[in-house]
Amino acid sequence: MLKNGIRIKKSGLSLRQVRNFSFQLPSISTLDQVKAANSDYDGLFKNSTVKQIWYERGQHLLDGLNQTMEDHGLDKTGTDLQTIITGLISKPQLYGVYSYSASLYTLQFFLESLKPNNTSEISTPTADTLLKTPALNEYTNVPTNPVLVDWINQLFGSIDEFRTLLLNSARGIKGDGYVWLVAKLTVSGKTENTKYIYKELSVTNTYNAGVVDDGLRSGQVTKLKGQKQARLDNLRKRADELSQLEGSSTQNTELQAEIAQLEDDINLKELGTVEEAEDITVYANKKLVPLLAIDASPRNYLLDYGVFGKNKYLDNLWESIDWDVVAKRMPPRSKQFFSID
Amino acid sequence: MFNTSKSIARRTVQSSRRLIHEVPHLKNGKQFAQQGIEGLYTPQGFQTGWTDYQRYLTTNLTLLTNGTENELKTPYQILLNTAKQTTEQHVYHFASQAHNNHFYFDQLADKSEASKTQPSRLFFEKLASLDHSDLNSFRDEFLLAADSMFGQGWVFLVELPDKSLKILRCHNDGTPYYYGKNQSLDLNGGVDEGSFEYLNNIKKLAKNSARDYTLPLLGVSCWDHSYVKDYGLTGKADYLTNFWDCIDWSVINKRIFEV
Repeated sequence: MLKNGIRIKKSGLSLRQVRNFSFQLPSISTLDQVKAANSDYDGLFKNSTVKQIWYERGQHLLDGLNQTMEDHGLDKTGTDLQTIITGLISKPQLYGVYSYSASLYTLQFFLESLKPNNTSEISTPTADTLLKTPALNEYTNVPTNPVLVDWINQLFGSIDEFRTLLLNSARGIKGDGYVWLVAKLTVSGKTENTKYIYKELSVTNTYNAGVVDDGLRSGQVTKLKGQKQARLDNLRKRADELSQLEGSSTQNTELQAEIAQLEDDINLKELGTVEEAEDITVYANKKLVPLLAIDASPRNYLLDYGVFGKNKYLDNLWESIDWDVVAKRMPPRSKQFFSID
Repeated sequence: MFNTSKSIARRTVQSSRRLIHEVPHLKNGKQFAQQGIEGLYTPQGFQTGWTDYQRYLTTNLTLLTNGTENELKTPYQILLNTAKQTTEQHVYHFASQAHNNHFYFDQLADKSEASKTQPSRLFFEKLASLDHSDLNSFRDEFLLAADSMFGQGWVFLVELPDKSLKILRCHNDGTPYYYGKNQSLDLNGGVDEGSFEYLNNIKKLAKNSARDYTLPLLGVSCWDHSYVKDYGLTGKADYLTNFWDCIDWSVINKRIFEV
């Protein structure tokens, strides 16, 4: 499971080596230009907001990541965020490391999907906007890559419908969260001729430090239950050994109490369990490949657009989507063919 | 005959009563709007966290409850009424947020005023049930629970049916009043062992038909609306420190008796 050598090191020597290396804030060219020119991110963020969203909050997340990795004595050399996320999501004790790296990764992915634009304006709507009838779709920024356009048209009906779905999903997020455009990967066939098929595009949400790939997420609770079961088996074995040693009449009451407690925990069946829910939605042969992420969290619009500005922010965000980047992330599309024998 | 028609008329008038949700009146609201809350908010920070955000919440609540059974109810009644209804969660969000935000701002005072108040002896006696002998160690635990939370939410000090206290985290629009909607866990990313134990514990409580009469005494907002204007996106820790100095303990002391 763990690639590129993320390991928990316990010796003092390797810990000292670890301290010398720490992750740096990745460079995002569009933002670096804004910072260097001390100008606004045209059509979307003011200069001060860019500083806060990326250079301060990004650094804050990075510091948290470096710190928690150091606290756990994890080796950072030769790893990247993606590897950490994949490797650590199912390690309950490293929850903090995972959360920082996932937050940073999605933030970077979101900001890299954007470019400044000249069509929209930053403004601060007032309370009256809540009572106004929403305007019809008015936008100028559309994808140009013919494959992407065709794919979107076929899966969502039209660019209009896709935009409505994407932005409405973002409106539905009340706390922190991202809306993603993803390509669904289906793996089929046996190992010698595995087929990777991308037929569908889809829009999906993640919340807080969630990652878009459900394949990584699933099975965590089941695994934790498995650990509990293993502990119970161990205890039972020890109880058996003890009773054989000391004669069958004596029983270690403390041990028996612990066993009873664990059995009780594991056998709670009155309600459906979270493990069962996980099994139903298991994503074993599928994978989601992200093409575009938009951040619907309040921190992105509160500073420039104010409390009533979420809709305005989202409209501007659409104008700022860099479709070239999205097209570059797009995997080869597998069209559905029907063969008649 | 005359009487009957009169009473029918009165009933008709009563049943056609209308109500819109407004931003509630705060004790020092006018002063806060002009000068901010000394030691916590500038006037702009107060405007974002209270005046604007509360107007956003109450206006949306009015729009959503207009002409429904919830029209004449307070946000508190609406949140209780909608918490269990899966198709009413959009209404629940605004009701719960409006109530929580009011609960939070209701307990704030200027630093100089707040420093004149202190927790009552009853409060300290109750703190003992949390294994805290002094206020400072409780403060640290309470603020840490708020600072270490990922995403938006609330942290409450609540009183349980057996009169003991507990620190309760509520993610996003979670409410302390009903544990089906506490939203204490964040299972979106990695799941840690504490969360797993918490899930197990909830199942046990449900199996034993545990009663859920939880009431909040103290609450703090971890929503961006409450701090980004004055403290910036990375200023949560500073905000929380200042928040602690601006608690009007006389409000909290009174809440214990209301419970």
